Amino acid sequence: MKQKKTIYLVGLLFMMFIVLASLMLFTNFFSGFKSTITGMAVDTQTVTLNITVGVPQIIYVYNNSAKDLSTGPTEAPAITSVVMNFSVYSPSGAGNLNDSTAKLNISLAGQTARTNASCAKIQASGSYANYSCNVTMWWWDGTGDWIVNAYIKDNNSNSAINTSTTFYIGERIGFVMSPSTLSWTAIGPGATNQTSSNDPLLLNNTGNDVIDVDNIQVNATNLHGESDDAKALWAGNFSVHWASGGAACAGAGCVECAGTQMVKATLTGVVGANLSADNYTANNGYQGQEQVYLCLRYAGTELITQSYSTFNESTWTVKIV
Amino acid sequence: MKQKKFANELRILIILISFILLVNFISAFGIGCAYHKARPLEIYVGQTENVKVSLQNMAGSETVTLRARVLKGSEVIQLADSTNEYTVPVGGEQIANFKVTIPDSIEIGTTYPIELEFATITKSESGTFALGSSVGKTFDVIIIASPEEKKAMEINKKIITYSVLGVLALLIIVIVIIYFVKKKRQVSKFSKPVIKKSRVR
Repeated sequence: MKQKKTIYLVGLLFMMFIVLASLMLFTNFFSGFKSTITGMAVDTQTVTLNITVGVPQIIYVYNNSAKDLSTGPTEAPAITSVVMNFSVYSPSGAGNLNDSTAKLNISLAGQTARTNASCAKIQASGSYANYSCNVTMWWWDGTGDWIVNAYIKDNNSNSAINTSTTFYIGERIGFVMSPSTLSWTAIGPGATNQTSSNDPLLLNNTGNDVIDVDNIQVNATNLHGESDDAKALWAGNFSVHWASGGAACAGAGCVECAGTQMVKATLTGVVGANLSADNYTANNGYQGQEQVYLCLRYAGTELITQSYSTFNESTWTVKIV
Repeated sequence: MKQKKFANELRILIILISFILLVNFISAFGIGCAYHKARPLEIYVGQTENVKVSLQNMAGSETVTLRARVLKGSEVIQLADSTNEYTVPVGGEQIANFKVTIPDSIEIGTTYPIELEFATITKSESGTFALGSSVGKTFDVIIIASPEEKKAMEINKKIITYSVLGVLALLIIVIVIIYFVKKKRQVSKFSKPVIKKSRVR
């Protein structure tokens, strides 16, 4: 019994020692003790004390754009201006806000954030100030709920952030093709693998929708003779391909002519062709671009000299889905 | 022989001429909509929803005339405008309105795949290889429960939950009662002889 009491006492003393040691370590106990005994300060320090009544708060963020973005961004090459305003409450007064730090960015996972790092102060009164930020969005900016991140600092480096607002950008599908004319060099009856001399047909994605592989489709029709419409360049003798075999493509080894065979009056997906949602003005052949090559695989031996066109049948159509 | 060769050359030449300027004017346009494959339109039975499709012609160099068609889902979606043709000037925008109506007999959870198509109206002229463009828009319409149905379903869920809890509580009470009754009987069984014994003494 006595032995147990001794153990408890030793334990208690040990714990007291630990507490005291901690206090000495973290509260400059020794320097305070020294200054009390000797009357000498341990060292001199300059302390700057900033007293701020309260940190600023962004209390309201709202979309002030004239344009409704629920149907997607504006088609290329136009830009979309998104005007976002935010209101700040500063307990130390609106004058204590650092206007040059007012910024706003709009972000969505997997997309490049769009930022305005110099928002303009449009109003200030008492403890409140309003800022307006014009953010440029591009036609390839993806669909989804974009998060608005408003930010400002006061002159005491207290910052305020508000990420509570989101806005939805819809989906836009669009494209433009060029050139406007295609031509072939000499084609005689019975000729094979004749490619256009000024292709590819360049497709630029003017929207924010990714056009997946095989979703570029071509609806081909027969090119009938205008004098004798029984003779024709048949739709099934044309092919469309995304790959090229070079400028001098002709004959059996022609890569351009190994593409997807057209089917009359049927939307046929060009195998392997796609369009990314990107800035096609980079003009590098893959960012928001696709090139397709048309080939006349065979011109019948029965053909006679006349004009062959879509005049007697419907037009060809290039479709994206 | 020389004459035959000349005829062949002429034939080639004439066919060549037929192919120059094969493709005429190519139009460009873009369509925009709030709904797409990853964002379906959720609608309940009896509800009617207006689906707005924005038609823009920012990249083109000429006014385009577009024809709208419903390729899939015509049982629930119809064009709400008086015409299915839209003229969009360069730099301009038009809105095509579609109406989605869900009949009363449709079950909750039913999905309707929708496909809308906007195609340029292209005239084919003599001697040309006319090429038009077309854009397809796909999304799903999913039938969900109406707010009233959701409320009723929640109430039903609560009733079922409370009923189950009530039955369980009742069951526990019954078990407890049985346990105590049994215990009491056992106690009385063992205590009786003791009393008798003491009385004998």
